[in-house]
Amino acid sequence: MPGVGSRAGHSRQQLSIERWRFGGSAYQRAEEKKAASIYSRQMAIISASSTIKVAAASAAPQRACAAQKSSVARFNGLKAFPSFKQRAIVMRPASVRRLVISAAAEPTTLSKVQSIIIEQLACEKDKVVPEAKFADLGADSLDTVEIMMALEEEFKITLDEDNAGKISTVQEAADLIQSFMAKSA
Amino acid sequence: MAAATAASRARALALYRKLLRTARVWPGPEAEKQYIRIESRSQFEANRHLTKPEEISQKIFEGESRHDIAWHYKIPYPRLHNFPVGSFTEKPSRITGPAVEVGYILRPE
Repeated sequence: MPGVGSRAGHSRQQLSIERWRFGGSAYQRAEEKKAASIYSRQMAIISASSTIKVAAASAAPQRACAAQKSSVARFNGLKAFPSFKQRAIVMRPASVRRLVISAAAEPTTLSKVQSIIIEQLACEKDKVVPEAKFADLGADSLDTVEIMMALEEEFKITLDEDNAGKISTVQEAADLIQSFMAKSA
Repeated sequence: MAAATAASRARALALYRKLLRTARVWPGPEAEKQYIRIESRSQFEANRHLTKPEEISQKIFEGESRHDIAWHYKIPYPRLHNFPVGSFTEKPSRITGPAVEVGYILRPE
């Protein structure tokens, strides 16, 4: 595969970055266990001291995917030291640190609502803005009922009929769901 | 389902919601659940054009009775008859075909 050869140099780099970014999770401990057997102790210390300054890096999904793919590590040809120039350190405030394990970021209520609506009505992603009305998206009252049921299933709540009948825009649906989740939680 | 009044519209949507919840918790194979969803959707679409309130309430009553009968027997498919229930024909050539039992003998309200 053409990609693997060029990425082999990055893979150990990214794996160490990923490990130290996900502070204190089970994923990190598992990854550490896996990598401890492969990395030399010296390598780990160097990565720790150099990457500990890296807060949130950009292109997290791409790197997470690459880390996952290369975590069955191609560690042959292990260099003694990682190449420092590949690390474009971006100082960001520590509050940006998010636990990203899978490729997708954690979706909010509104984005989940949007994805369900797109799936039900088979419309384009750009049209489903928070202010969009269901009627504009091509949904009649039956479709609206179906969307409400799908949202109930997704968020494991039960919408009562009076509230459900008043929903007309996407944002209202998201607000109603959040109010119900707050009530039940 | 172009209901003449808002009340009948609300009743129709409530019935549709009830049918979808039934499809969700139906104790049977997945094919029957799919049948409930598809059948309810198609029936509502077919009767969308009705305007007279008595027709609309008649259809809503049929939907409710089909729902209750399905739960009673745990069979979502309607019962077929060779003749519409309550008909008397002398000549077999007048047979119109199998008819679905929808419980229309009872008058709603």
